[in-house]
Amino acid sequence: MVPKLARYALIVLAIVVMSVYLPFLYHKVSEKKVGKTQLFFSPVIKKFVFREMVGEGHKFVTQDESGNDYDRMTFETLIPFVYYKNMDLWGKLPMTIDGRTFDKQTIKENRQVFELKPRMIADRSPRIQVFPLLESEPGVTRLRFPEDAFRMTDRMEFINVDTNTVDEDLTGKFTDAMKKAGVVFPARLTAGRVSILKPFDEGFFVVDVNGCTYHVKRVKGEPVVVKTPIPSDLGIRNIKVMENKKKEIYGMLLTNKGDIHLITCDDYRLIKLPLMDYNPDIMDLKLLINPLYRTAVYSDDHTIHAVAMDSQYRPISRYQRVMFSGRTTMADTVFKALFPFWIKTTDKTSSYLQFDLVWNGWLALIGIALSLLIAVVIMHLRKFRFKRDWPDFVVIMFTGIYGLIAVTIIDPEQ
Amino acid sequence: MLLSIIYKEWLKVRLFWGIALVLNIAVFVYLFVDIRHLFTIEHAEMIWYQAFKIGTLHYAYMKYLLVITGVIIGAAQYTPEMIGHRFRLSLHLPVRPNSMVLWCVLTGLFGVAVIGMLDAFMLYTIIARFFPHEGAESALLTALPWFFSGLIAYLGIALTAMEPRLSRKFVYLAIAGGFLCLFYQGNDYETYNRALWKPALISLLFIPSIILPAYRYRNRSS
Repeated sequence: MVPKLARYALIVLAIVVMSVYLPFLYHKVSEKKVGKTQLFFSPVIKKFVFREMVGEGHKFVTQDESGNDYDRMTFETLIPFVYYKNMDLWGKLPMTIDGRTFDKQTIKENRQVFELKPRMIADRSPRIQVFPLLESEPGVTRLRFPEDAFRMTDRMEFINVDTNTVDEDLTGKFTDAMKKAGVVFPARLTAGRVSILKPFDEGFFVVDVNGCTYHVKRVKGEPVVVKTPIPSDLGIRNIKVMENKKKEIYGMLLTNKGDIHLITCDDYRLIKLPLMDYNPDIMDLKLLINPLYRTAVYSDDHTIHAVAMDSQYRPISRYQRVMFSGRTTMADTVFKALFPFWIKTTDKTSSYLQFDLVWNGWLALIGIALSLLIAVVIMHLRKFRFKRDWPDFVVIMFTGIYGLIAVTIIDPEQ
Repeated sequence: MLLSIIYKEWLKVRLFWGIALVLNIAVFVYLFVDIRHLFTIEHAEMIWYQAFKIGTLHYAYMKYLLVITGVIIGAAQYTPEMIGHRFRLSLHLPVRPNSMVLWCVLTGLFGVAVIGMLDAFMLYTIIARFFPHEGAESALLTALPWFFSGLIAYLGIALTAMEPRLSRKFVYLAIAGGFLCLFYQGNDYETYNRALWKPALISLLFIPSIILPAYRYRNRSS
């Protein structure tokens, strides 16, 4: 009995290993490069236009939402604010749209792109909660990392990076300023853009234990803490700070409900983006700002959505389509029939590994039936004894091809 | 009797356990020297930035250290037993064969685990010397799956060594190797934080599964 149980322990291990690597190998062999759809709102024809890869090599379709086809050059001319450098090269600048004239400099100064991918959300990727607070007015042309970093505990604690010890003076100074502004420690969220490759520094946004949001900066070595009017009951999940020379928007705020707000530099006024069916956990979001319109484009692996807005972020047009890359292929169907389940270890929407069992649905019954048939043949050849080895069939019944391979290579003792 | 078995296993592996221990300590001494050197040639704030923001794992070269340790101890423990079928003598000891096998395995596993715990201590201490405790805790969490892989490597060697049939040795090696690779799926820090318990829990099945090759060895059903 014990060796029999030991054999099944080994079979389970073999099944686990196979359910990670066989689907992985299958995808390696069958996967074809089909990029995501590029979707834009054309300020010229006031329609959504897209470019989509529809096959191997360089097979693309370039259309508008009404199904009209365009060549590459016309497509780029329909979205001149995206391809403004080409417009300049082709001698089409300055150009007039809706009675307004735009030259290269105007376009350049009024363009902005914000991006939020699921991996960028604080709770979807590990991050050591120690951050450098840059000097916001360094008095030199380039930003520099300070010689300290801070952590949020029951105070704003600065650690000297050279000695790896707490700098009590700096800690006291910033903690006092934070408390004076109303911060109740500990912080629920600390969000900033840790980089020196940015035009200037806007410090950090800190959400305290009560849900109140504070803006913390280091200006000439002194703490500047501002209590923002952002509602404390908003349920902030993530803030992505994005310093930009336009100085209109501090960044993007994501709530627990999945709403996206822009934090404006106009006294932290929030602008809620009118997104429908947006799921921050699985969708990439891009906000494209040009001199005339704002377009939010968001997509998962299946469908791409877009909403075009005027300069006040009021929706003027919406569009969605199932992407070519989101369509079910023959390889997908065969995969689901062949493997009853698979273990997903990685996910592009999160930096955390998963090891989740993913069921492939009813199609898997085909593979299971085939596996059982093959098992009958093999076991007949091996003089199978039903009374003794019937659990092998149960294993195959639940695990299909994995079980078949496992019970075959780890055969029962005679 | 069980104490005698444990003592017998210790006598077999002590030299190689000592070699593995020295190897592990040497690697951590090098890690200390290496990070210390890094802090002398680079600004500390940049190293912290690389470690916390970019995700540079300054201790990444110890990734396979415990795997090597597991292989050394496993090979030291089971190779002499399998040469000249000495293992058959052990199976004649007045103790149930399954218990005897499990105690042998647990002894070796304990030997690997002790070195693993020492590694964890050294890693934490060294990283905490140069980085705040968040960095040291993160290093431990990042290295935890690598420590697990050391235990799997040991169990894989035990499984493979005891199996009498060559074709099956390859099967066991493939299972153990495949499972071991599950602990090397991430490239960033703390990527296993939410899921390590799953492969770790399943890996416990390696311990009872060793009964099978031992049984087959005893009954020579190859």
